[in-house]
Amino acid sequence: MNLNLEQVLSRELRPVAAPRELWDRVQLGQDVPGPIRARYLGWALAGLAAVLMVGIIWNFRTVPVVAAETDSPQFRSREATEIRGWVKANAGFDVPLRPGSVQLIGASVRNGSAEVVCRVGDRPARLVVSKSRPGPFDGARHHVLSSSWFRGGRALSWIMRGQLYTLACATPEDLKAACFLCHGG
Amino acid sequence: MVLDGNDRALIEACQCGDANAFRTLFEAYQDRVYSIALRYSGDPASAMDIAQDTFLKLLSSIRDFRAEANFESWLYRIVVNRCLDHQRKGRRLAPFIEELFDAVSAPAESVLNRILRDEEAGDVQRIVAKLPPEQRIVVILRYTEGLSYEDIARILGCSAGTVASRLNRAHKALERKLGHLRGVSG
Repeated sequence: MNLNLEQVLSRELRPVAAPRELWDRVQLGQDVPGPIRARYLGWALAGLAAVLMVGIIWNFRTVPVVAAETDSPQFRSREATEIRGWVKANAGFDVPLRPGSVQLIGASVRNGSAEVVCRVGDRPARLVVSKSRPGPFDGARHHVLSSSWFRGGRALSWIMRGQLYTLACATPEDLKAACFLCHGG
Repeated sequence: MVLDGNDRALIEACQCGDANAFRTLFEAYQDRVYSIALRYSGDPASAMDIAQDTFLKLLSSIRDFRAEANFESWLYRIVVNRCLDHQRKGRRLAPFIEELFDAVSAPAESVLNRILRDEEAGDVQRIVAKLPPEQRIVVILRYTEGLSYEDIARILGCSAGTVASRLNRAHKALERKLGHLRGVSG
């Protein structure tokens, strides 16, 4: 048996403290009889799914046709740090843009969503970000919700750190390259 | 706070419906129950569901607890069963998520894949969460709770040899998948 493996497992699987909300959850469960609780859970899941779908559709709706580049952003800059700061000041949340190979054009904030406009190669691309409702996908991992062709382009939606992201590009290759918006390179 | 295994008075108070006693019992065991649930499911939201179900089950069935039995083992059995139940319920959703992930991954090339994979690299909990349930629960009870083979066997209702066998298979699988991490090599 590998002692190093045991050490890694003991470290990574160590006990953690239960969230304070657990007691509230237990009390809530006591107040509601089992079958009704199950029904509430069903409705809650259905509601969450509906909220997610509305969020995706809303994000898609706010993503202009990728091929069009006629509208100008409210804030124009080629600097990731400037755009990041402007978005934070105007939208109230952070979009972790990093300097890299993607050519930034600017950003807009509309209806609570931040829209970063950029060019990947010679083609326009957009990243739309909005706050999502608190849920199980609030961690630092990309929880992919959908990947689809959209208005002649490719769109990818995911939730991460309590924010809903939709990246829309002209081609799948642009979508990959646009990852550098937040991942540098 | 950790209850003495022989502290029957508190359990008897719970059996008589004493809400304060149940709160004390909850506070004594909440971290252990939540830790097992979190390490097993790999997901805080699922862990909350499992932990909540565990304590509700504890509350509803504590009258069935026999004084001569070991309370910790009895509680462990409840949380283990909740974990396995949760796994069974979640099985319907998993293929859908995997299909989504595959749909994204298939046309994508190196950059997107790399970003998604990088997040998994070194993520021991994620890899443990992918072990078969019977191996995973043994790993959790061993490394999160530090239980002996005999204790684990008692909780799972199997022999210590079976526990050793499952743990051995889990170790081999984990060594393969975690071999890229510093300090873990076969």
